[in-house]
Amino acid sequence: MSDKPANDVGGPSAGGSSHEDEKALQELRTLLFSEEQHEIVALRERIESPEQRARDVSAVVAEAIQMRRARGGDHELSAALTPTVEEAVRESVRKDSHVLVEALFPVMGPAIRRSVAEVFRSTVESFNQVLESTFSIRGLQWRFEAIRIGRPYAEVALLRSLVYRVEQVFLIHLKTSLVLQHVVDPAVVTQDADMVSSMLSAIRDFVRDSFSTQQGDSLDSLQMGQLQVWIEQGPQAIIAAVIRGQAPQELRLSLKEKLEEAHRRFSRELEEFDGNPAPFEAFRPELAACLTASYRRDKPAKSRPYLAVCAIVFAVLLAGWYGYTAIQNHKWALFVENLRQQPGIVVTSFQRARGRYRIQGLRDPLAVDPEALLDQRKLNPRLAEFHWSAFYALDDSLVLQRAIALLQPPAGVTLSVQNGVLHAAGDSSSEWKKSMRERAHFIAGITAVDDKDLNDENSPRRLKAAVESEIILFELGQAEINPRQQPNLAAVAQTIQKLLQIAPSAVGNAIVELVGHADSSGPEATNVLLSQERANNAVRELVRLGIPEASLRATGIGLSSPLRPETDEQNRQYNRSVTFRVVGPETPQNR
Amino acid sequence: MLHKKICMLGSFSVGKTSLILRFVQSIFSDRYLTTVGVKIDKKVISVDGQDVTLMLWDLYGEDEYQKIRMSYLRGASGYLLVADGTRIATLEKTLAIKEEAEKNFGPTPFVVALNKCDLAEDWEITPEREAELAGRAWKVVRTSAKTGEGVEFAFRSLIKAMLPT
Ligand SMILES: Nc1nc2c(ncn2[C@@H]2O[C@H](COP(=O)(O)OP(=O)(O)OP(=O)(O)O)[C@@H](O)[C@H]2O)c(=O)[nH]1
Ligand SMILES: [Mg+2]
Repeated sequence: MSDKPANDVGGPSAGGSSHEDEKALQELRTLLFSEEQHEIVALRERIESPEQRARDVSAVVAEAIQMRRARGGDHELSAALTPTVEEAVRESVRKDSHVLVEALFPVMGPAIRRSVAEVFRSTVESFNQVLESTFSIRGLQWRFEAIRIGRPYAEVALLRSLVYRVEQVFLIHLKTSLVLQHVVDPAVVTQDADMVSSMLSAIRDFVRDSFSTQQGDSLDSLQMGQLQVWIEQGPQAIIAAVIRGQAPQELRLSLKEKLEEAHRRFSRELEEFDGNPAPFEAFRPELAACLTASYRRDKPAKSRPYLAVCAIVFAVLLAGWYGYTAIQNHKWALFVENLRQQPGIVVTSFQRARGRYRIQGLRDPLAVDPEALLDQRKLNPRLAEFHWSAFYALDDSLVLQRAIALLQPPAGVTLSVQNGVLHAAGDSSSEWKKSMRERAHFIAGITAVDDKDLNDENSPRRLKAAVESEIILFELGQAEINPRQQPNLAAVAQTIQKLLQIAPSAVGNAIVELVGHADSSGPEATNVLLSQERANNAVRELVRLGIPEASLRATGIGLSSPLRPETDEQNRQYNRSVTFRVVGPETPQNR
Repeated sequence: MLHKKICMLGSFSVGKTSLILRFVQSIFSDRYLTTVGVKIDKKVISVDGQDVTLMLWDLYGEDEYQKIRMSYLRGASGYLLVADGTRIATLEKTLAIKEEAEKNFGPTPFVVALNKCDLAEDWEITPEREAELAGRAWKVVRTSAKTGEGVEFAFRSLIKAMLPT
């Protein structure tokens, strides 16, 4: 708006004051634009006042965020908001932690418990699966497959066989959460249906209240590993199916139909339900019809007789092997039993390990050789593993062996051991007897020595025998002592001397009787005299050699008891003699 | 057989879980394990020659962090309102819960259990207060989950009140 054209238009009045013009223009402006002018001022104020601006943005902030999100600018928005939200949470916790605790508490407990239960359940489940199919040929195939593709065996097994199985179906009264009807697959171990149904309802209530969703929304499935619970809700009742595996969606449809049917047939009963489920018994067959299952079947396997034959041969071999081992074990057990009976062997342990028999114990070096026993029983010595510790056994038989080895008894002596007492019997030298007495006590197992039946050369019996074995020979018809017989007499005298010395203690008052004999050459009367004479002479000679006369007696018996039948000259000679007999002890009774 | 749902209502630690344990399994433990969420037990009981299966809903006790969720009460045939006789405040809390329940679900049979009556020396509920409650024609029973006193009686009274006469 320039002044010039205005002047032109003004014409005659143009020469008037421009001030007037200015005023008029202002007036015109006001008339024409006053409204707009106010608006402009207001707008300016609005833009410049922070308070007003805030008020404006607050009215549209929610819509703005929504629009932004709709435009797909999510990321920047979240990125922009995150620090603020984080800060806000932090601030909230600092100010009053209860607010957040309260908000989170209801979801934390159940979540923790559920995850624990899930871990536990899946462990048990996979263990069961493994047990079930470990021993089948198919099980082996699955095992290889599991190794090949690197997945758990249980997963493969389940995947391969079971597609799904409806294990339980509940019809539950919506308002009271009480069970109206419950059916279960016979192969399934179940919990108490009343409890399950109540818990299920509690969980649904909890979920609905905790995660505020739209009106009418409800929990319609639960999943725990391979188990799922599908839930359909009607106005009065809900139907819940516990399913293992992956069920087809048609199943949900049939659950819905059953639920609708229940509402149709039992609308009054559902409305007036007071805790008595009896009327719903009639609905059992319908629910049972939902207990369906589907298994993946492998193509029917071609019959493979060689597999069966192999299995049978294998079984027979196995049985044979088991039988053989059992018999062997039995034989070895008998062998060990026999070993235990052996003197000088103590078996402390007997084990079978890696096909060999290990026998441990104590063995006296003098005991029987176990290897020899093995031979006797035809057992393979290479299977035996003996571990013996040496020891002295106290069995009588072993003690005796030990005694014989150490004492070396001379011929004529017999040793025996009974309960640790060593008996010696027979004739021996006095030195041996002495040394035996000394050494016997050092032999392990000998507690006492009994040698009363052991005679040395000075024993009365031996002396008596020595005296009685002597003989003095005479010339034909003579009674005089032949000088050649003197040494004999001297020897007899010495023996008699010894006998008399020990006699008082051992044989009492021994009397030595000298018996004169004669041969058959002369008449009997002279023979008796002759024999008496021979005995007398011998007595006299012994007295001369120092034997007390009281201990001697002379008897002549002629030919009445010939020493030998007179078949030749040499035998005849024997009958011309004096022999000795020890009589006594002269006890008072005998006297 | 009849099935009935019963809810245990009351403040925390008044002995709701203990009363159920005593009633169902006849045992008592001194340990306090607060109930999280809901625990459901079951007992079959015979009243006036009629067998009834009770589904006992043991709810967590109300405290300053969480109020009782009313949806758990839906369909209950009766409430056992439990208060701890040694803490008068728990009685007021229990009565407040009752009010709210009735607002939501209408009048429902109930029995008031004044629990822990074995702790006589700590008892805080005056005889006058007790008489006043009974005067409202309410069933008020002193119980002890510890000794078992009154427990069976409280539940039986509740069932009688629930069954149509
Ligand atoms: N002396 C006594 N102690 C009781 C009795 N009843 C319960 N208690 C004890 O009180 C404590 C709380 O008992 P609970 O049964 O767990 O209480 P609750 O009402 O279930 O508690 P929340 O589940 O936390 O709501 C426990 O230590 C019980 O041993 C009673 O009759 N006598
Ligand atoms: Mg409890």
